[in-house]
Amino acid sequence: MTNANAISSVNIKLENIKKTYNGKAAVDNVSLEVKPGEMVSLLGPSGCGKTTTLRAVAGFEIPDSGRVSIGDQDVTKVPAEQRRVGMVFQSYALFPNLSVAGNIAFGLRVAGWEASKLNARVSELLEVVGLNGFDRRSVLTLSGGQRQRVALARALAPNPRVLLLDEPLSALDAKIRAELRTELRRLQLDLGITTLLVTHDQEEAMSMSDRVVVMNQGRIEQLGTPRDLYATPASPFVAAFVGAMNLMPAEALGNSGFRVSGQTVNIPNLENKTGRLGVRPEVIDLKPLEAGQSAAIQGVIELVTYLGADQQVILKVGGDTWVARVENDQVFGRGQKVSLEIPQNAWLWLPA
Amino acid sequence: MTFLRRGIIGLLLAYLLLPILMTLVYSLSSSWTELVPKAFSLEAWSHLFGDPKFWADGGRSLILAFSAVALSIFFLVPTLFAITLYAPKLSSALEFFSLWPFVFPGVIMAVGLIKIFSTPPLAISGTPWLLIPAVTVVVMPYAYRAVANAFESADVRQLAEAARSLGASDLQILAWVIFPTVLPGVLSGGVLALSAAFGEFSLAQLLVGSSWETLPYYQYLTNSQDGHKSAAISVLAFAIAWGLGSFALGLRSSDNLKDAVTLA
Repeated sequence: MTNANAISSVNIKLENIKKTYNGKAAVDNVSLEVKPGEMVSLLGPSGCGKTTTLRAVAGFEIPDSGRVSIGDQDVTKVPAEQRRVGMVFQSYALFPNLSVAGNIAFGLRVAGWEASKLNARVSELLEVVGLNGFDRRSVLTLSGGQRQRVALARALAPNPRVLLLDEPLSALDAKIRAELRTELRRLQLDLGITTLLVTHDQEEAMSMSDRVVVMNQGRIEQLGTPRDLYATPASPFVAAFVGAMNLMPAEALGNSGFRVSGQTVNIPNLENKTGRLGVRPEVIDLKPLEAGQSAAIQGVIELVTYLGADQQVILKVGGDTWVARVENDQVFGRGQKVSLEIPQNAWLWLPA
Repeated sequence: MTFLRRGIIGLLLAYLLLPILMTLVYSLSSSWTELVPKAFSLEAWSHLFGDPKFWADGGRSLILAFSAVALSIFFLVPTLFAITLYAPKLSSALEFFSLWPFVFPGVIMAVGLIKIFSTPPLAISGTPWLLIPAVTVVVMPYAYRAVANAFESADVRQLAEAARSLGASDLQILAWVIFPTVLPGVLSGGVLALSAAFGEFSLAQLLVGSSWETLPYYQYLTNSQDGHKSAAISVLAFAIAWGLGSFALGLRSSDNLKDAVTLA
C-alpha cells in the first residue's frame, strides 16, 4: 500500500432525513453521524431504506426534509457531481467503452488533471487494488472481482471526501466476496477514508465496520458496534437479523422464574417480565440424558448438520424448534434426548 | 412430418425469393415475350452503371439516408437519456409518439410541409433542407426502437450515476459515456432506419421531385422508359439492403460474443 494520497478524513452527518415515495415513507426520520475515518454499515432487509439513505448522501436522492452534511458542509441541495464522493455500485457500473485505465482516469479527466499527473495516479491505484498490468484491458474481459476492484480504484482516484459502497460484494461468488471483504476493510483503514456501506448481509456488516446501523421500515432499529449488536440486541428484529438466535415467547412466573417452550427456568439476573427470551445457538451445551433422567431444559434431537469446525443441532424443546451449535467431538443421533445447558448470564430478555 | 415442414419452408422461400430472382432474370434478358426469355444481355446493367445521373442520384440517396439517420439518433439519444434519468414516467408517452409517423401517410405530411415551407421566411420547399428533416421524422420510429433497445441493454441510469459521482456534468456524461456505450447497439438497430430512408419515395417525389433527385425517384422515371433497367435497380436496391442487414446482424452477434466472453 502506497500512502501517497493522504486523505483528510471528514464526517458524514444525517439529520432527520425523510423521504416518501407514493405516500409511503422509505426513510423515516433518520439521523446518523459517521465520524471521520469511520466505516459504518447500513444493514437491513430490502426495502428498509438503507439504499435510499446512502443515495441521499451521494446526491442521487433529495430528501423531502432533513439535512445531509459532509465535512460539516451542508450538501442537502448540492448536486451529486459537486459532492466529491466516491461511489461503488453492486453492478460495478463500469464504462464499457473504456479500458481499465480509462475507467480509473474518468474522474481525473473530468477534473482536468494534466496527463503526467493523471497517469501517475492511475498506476498508483492499479497498484492499490492489485491490478498491475491490467491498464489496457477492456473491462468486459474481467471477472466480477476484478471489475469491482476497478470500480473501487475509479471511485478513489479523484481523492473523494467520503466513500459510499452500495452492496459492493453482493454480485460476487462467496469465496471472492470473503477475500474482497478483508481487502476492502484493510484499504479503508489504511486510507482512513470515512465510509458508508449498504448491505443486507449481516456477516459483511459485522466483519467490515466500526459501527452497524440496523434499519427496518425506514427507521433505525439499533446503532452500535458489531459486538454491542450481537451481545445486546435492542429488539427482536435486531436479534433475529444479526446472527442466529433462539427467540421464544416467555411467561414470567415471579421469583425469577420463566416458562419458556414448556420448560421452567430460573434466571435471577433478568427482570421478571413476560416477553421473549433469547439464547444464541453457540452458548448452548448439550448433555445426553439416560432413560428416566430429567433436566431443567430438555429436548429431543431432530437433525444434526456437520459443519466442519462445529456442528449444528436442531432440537424440539416443548413444541418449539431450537438450534444449538456445539463442538463436533460429541456424536448425537436423531431422537436422542438431551439436556440443554445454558449459562444464566447468556439469556437475553426482549419485548414480545 | 419433416416432409411437411420442409414443404412449407420451401414454399415460403419460393414466395420470398422468386420475385427477386425473376426480377434479376428480367434485368439480364433483352427480349422476354414468351414463357422463357429469348436472349440475355448485360445491356440494362451497363446502361445503368454508365449513366452519370444514376451515380449522382444514388449519392444523394446515400446522403439523405445517412444524414436522416444520424440526425434522428442525434436527437433521440439525448431525449431518451433525459427521459430515463429525469422523467421515466414519460417513456411510454414517448414510445407512443414515436409511432406517429407510421400513422400519418407520407402524402399528408408532404402536403403540410409544402404549404408551410413554400413561402418566406423559410422557403425551403424543393430543397434537401426540407427533405432531410422530413425523412428524419419518417425514420424516427425505426431509430427510436434501435436507441431504446440499446438503452435497455446498457444500464444507462447506473452508468450516469457512476459518472456523476465522479464529477461529470450531464453533457460530459452524454458525450463521454452514454453515446459511446449505446452506439454499437444503435448502429446495428439503425440499419433498418437506414434502408427505410434510402428507399423513401413519396416524400422525395412530393417535396423535391426532380430538383434534388434521389434513387427511388430515378427508378420511378426509369420505369416508364426501360423495364429491364428498372428491374436492375430493384435488384441492386435489394442487394444493398441485404448487405446492410447482414452487416447489422454481424454487429449484433459480435455483441453476443462479447457477452459470452464476459460470462466465461
